[in-house]
Amino acid sequence: MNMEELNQDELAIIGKLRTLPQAQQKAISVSGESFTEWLKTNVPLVWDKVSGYIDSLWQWFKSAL
Amino acid sequence: MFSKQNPSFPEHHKSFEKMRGLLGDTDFRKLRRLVEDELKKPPRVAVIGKSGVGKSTTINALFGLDEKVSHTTHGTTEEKQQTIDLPEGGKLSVVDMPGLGEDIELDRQYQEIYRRVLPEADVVLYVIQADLKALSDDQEILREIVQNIMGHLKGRLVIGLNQVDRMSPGTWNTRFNYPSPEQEDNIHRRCHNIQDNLSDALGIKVDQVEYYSASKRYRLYELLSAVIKSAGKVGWKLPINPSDAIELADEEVREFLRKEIV
Repeated sequence: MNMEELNQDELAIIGKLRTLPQAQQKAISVSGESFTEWLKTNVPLVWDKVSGYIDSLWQWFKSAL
Repeated sequence: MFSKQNPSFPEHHKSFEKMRGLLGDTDFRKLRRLVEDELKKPPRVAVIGKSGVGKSTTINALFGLDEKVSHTTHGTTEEKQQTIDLPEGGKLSVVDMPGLGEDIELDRQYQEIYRRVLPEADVVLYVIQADLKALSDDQEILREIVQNIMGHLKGRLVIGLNQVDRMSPGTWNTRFNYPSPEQEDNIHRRCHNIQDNLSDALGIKVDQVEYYSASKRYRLYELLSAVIKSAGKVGWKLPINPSDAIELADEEVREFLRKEIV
């Protein structure tokens, strides 16, 4: 199958479906923000030390689950 | 949990090791234990809606639970709570609330359950059926929740519009498992209409109505983002593992779709 075989409606649908990775990324990002809030509130001493590395910590945390 | 010795995120590895050095082994172990302990406490998601709106289907699709949450029997006067062990670690607690709108006397009993359960929930998902025009029952239930039960907890309420695949003109594209452009326009209009309607009825600004179809797995990431956000500081404990929409497209186009949307 290739793009030339699609009708106008289907081309429009493909365009919309391409936003799926952004929607997925947004969910991950919102989850990361929530983790940051939890760290700030529940482990303030750790937060002070790791605030500059939060992305790395979050990536490690998610990959280690 | 936390068993992998070599996490697969090379771009973050150097930065991560620097952070680990800053913390030191003792503090790092403490942090790890804290996260693990926190994950043992399941985030609590309460789901409300009239009978037949697809509450259980929504929870199963939203968290990729493979039908672990089953349907509540109609007319039950108990909430149904389940704690689920998530495949990727952690737990999830789901409270499937009895559906309102079947019987006046039962509704009174349900409201008591709502008063008891909802304030303890981390996030409350209210599900509306997209293809039903009448909103009066939903307005009444939501008014009760917003004005008399949740009060200052309004930020924890997510309003979801389910079963949008059934909306007029009924031209869901089954080949690609996606609404036709015409149907999608109608969905947007319906959403704005509900938003305005509920804002007027509840006397608060309803910022967003998340439209989706649990059975078609359409817009689950968007709904999940709203749920995680509304769960606040415990939102990170919710799994990001909604059911895969492309699996429901025609077999002959699945591979094509996966290539096209990367």
